[in-house]
Amino acid sequence: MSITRCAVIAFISLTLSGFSWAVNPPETPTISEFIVRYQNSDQAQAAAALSGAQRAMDMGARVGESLAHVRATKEGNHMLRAGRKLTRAEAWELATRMVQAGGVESAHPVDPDFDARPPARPPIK
Amino acid sequence: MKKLQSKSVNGTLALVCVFFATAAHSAETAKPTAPQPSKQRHFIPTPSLEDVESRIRNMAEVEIITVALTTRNAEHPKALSKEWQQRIIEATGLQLTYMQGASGDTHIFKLPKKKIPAEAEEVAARIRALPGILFAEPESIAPGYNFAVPTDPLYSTSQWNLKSAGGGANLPPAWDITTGKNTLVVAVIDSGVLTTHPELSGRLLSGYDFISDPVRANDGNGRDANPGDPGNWVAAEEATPGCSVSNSDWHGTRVASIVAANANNGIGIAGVDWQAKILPVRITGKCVGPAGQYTDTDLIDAVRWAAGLTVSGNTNPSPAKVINLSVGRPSPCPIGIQTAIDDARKKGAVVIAAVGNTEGASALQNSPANCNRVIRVAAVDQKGGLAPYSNQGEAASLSAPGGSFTDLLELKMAADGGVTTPLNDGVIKGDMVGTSFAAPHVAGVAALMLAAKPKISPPGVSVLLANTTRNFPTNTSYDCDNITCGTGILDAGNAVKAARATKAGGIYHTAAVKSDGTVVAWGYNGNGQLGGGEALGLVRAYPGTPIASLSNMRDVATGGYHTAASKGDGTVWGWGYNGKGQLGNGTLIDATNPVQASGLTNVIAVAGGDDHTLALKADGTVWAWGYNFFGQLGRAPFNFTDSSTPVQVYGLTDVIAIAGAGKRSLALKKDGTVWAWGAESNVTADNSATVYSAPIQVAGLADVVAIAAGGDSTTGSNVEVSMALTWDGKVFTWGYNSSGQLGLGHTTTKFLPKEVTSLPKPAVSISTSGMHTLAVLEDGSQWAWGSNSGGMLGDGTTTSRSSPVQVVGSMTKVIDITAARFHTLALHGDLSVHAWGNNSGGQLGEGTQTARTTPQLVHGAGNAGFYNAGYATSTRADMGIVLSDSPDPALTGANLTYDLQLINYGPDTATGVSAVLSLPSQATFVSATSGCSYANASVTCTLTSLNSAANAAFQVVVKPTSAATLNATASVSSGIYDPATSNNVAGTSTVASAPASTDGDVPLPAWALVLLGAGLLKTLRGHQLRASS
Repeated sequence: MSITRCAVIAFISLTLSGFSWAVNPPETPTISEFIVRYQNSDQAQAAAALSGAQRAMDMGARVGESLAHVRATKEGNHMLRAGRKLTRAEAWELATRMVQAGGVESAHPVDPDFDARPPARPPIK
Repeated sequence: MKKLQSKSVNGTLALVCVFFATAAHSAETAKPTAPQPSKQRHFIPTPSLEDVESRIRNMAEVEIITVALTTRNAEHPKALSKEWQQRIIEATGLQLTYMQGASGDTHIFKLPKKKIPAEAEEVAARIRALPGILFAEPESIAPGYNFAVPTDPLYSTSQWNLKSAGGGANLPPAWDITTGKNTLVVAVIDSGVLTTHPELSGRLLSGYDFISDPVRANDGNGRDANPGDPGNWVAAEEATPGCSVSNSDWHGTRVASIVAANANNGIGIAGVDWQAKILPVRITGKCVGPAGQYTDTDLIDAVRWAAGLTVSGNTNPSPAKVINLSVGRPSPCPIGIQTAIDDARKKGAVVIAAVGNTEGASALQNSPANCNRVIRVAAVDQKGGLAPYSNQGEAASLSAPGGSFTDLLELKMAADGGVTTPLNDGVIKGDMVGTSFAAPHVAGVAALMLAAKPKISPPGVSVLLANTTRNFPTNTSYDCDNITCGTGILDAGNAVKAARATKAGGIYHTAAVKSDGTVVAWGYNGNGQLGGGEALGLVRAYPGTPIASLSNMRDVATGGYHTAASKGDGTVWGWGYNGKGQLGNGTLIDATNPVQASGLTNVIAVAGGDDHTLALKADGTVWAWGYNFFGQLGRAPFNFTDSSTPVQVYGLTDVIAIAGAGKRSLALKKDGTVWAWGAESNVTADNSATVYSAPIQVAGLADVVAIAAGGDSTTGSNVEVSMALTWDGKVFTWGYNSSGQLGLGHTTTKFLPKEVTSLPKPAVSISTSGMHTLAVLEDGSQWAWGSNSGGMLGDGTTTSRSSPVQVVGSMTKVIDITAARFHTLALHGDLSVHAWGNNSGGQLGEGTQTARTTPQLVHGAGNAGFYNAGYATSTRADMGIVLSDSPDPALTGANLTYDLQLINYGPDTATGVSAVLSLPSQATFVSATSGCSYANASVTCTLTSLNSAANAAFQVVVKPTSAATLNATASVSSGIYDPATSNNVAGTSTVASAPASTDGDVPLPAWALVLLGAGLLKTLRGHQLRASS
């Protein structure tokens, strides 16, 4: 088989097998924010001793990632921002490390595209 | 051999009479004699139950003790260790013999010699005193029999038991929805079956013969793989205490034929279910005293084996979803039987038992009907009154046709002409009645319900059957009420309609499958989620007309802003918001009309997450599509890619139920384990969990029969809640708890399952939105906890609750409850739907956009009348009937006229009106007005329609044939939803007497009477004048 023919077959194969690739292109890293919910005892500790920024830095040191505190939410969660953009899998891997580092109830990455096209809501009467 | 008459046993106390008739029979010649036929069942003196029990107490016949350890594992039974055997033997101080590891990891010890029950109980108590013993109990020797009594074959064939009048089970409307499913298995644990009977041809699975005693088995051996019925006749020389001379009764064949006799085969009768398979499991045989026709040990093993548990290395390849037990003995429920029933329930089986044939005795007299978590069935006669032999009491779950000796029509069943061995002549007989035959009506209907909706849990089947019954009629021979006969008469039509009916709620909309397989929706149409192609932004605060392109729908589910429904052909359709691919059609384009999810077939259930959708296939695999940021599609470990077409959930098989939340999904496997994927599915502690994007087993849960999940896919919205319902009605919750939605009395997050202990009764239905959490209890009451935004807890307030509170109102007979995001939906046993909570999109369907803190009836299409899942239209009628007779009293041989007055009290026109008058047996039909027809002792009068507030009248003329009290009943129904059925039945009674005898006197003409009267008057006046002068 000639190299040319081989290349053509390879091209066709890639094109056909890459149909799903065409639909789902390689993910562009877009995620940098995380919602972190500290365990109750740590929440109290946070309020008493550490500022949000200090806790974010502490967390970053423990998980080996640069993390900055963005804000506290009304639900009692904390939004942190990583120093780089991550894919979904990378973001969840980091979130898992945050929980495993201790003192964290749950950690979720924030989907920046979640509200790209939000559903309609009824007008407020 | 001289043919035995099968009608000698007293029907009122059949068990007792058989027991005491034995001595006389045993003294007779070995050649069986023909006992005198008798219908005087109520007039034969019978010994008391106490007498029987006293005799049993003093019989040294117990030799078996069953033992279970606290480490019992029903799924993996193994032999008792030598150490344990020795420990038990030493504890008793007797030379017990370890017989075998019995079913369910229980163990049988044989006493060195037979003991009276009290002594055997002492031995068992010594074993129970050992640490590590779960239970130890002697085998009961109270006489156990099939619940059947013979009757005279006097009536023409007619299956009144399957129709709607009187005590009939009302099958035709159910058959309109489903005639069954050939993959559903109903176990008939009974006397075996006649395998060549044409009514059961093609319907029988292999089954098993569990009779240990070769004499009782009557087939030459003990247990074997042949469940054929060789006959259970007792000849005179075989009679023993408690067991008199009797013919073979082919009891198991009769019971099986009620469940599943072949329909439309040109012969005989129709069964309740036309497709299901019968699993014949043989435990009853020849009556052998003192234990009677079966032993508890055989019954216990049979129940477990039928449900799919391994017994002595033998596993049933076709586990039954429904188990019928038309057997019993007067005894408290033995722990061994209760444990076996619970093991079967854990395997997902519904257990149904006949309450027994002891007139006036409690429905809790006999085991296994008195065991917990059994559907207890009492018997009604043709007119719907309590059958004269039936056990009774409010402990009965419901009543079903069992027949009576006084019925006009016999209860027809498949049987055999042989009085000893079978002739295999394929005959149909009508010579027996009993609660034995009431129970299989319920078993058959349960199978139909499961065919209509496979995902109903065993507790769900129980509550659905009990809460869809028909009201008891009056003017019967013994009028039933809820205190005597359970919730009502089995109504297959209502039960299957209720099973088919499904509802689901999104954030601002509600969708429902009606029993006719159509789908309606109401609420806000912001993204097309109402599905009717209507304008975006429409608010319709009441159900619309059915979505035109959808028919034969099986299930419906909602996400936050989209709707999905599965069709009877196994395809899935979706409409509404599609921003994350949750419609599954390969696009991200919203749809205002249903679009088909790509490539899915054989789907039997759907579930909605907030922005994703799940489907369960018949092969037990799960498929998902839509948003997967949290791994809620379960595609694979570390795969968080969305999918706009269905993808298979990773490595998950044997699933029987699914549930979708916001960031998480749940599946229930047939082994009772629960699996989760998505956010916080990988739990390390109550306060620490991480994501997992493939199924992982939820720790701390076993024997689960239903699951629920709710949540919000918006990041930072921590409201993911999961629920599980166990086989015994316990409710477990886990997840976030900021509003107390876990129901644990606090607001602390618990990622591991915790039992909600403050519910007053076992639950039968559960649901959660993540914000609030709901349960229906076995008494039909509804309880709610969590966030109360907009009043969605239904307690009349907007105060959130961290412990369950009861929903306000007197809604009894609720069969299912659904938590939408901010509102709540409840399906009532009459198939109406009630809604409460937030209503900004008109999602409550009660005509406004005002939030409601208490349940409101959902309105009908076009905002007229009320919604009802069981009717094609949504209008409302309220039919009433009045019945009178004249002359009163009546004369034999002279005409007696019944006047039927029909009234429609409702606001809408009733269509398809039908009134049925059941004539007294002591009268013959003469004539009826136009629109009426006579058949089988009933006159049916029909009207095409009856306007609101209008009347209609019919007259029926009969002729009394004998001097007697003539009772007649009439009922009316229509094709329109009737929310008030208490006035749909009426009765009247009159006494007919023979015409006065003339004794040969010549009657005086009228003019002579006038003259005589005038003369008398004159004479009286003369006396008065003289007296006053």
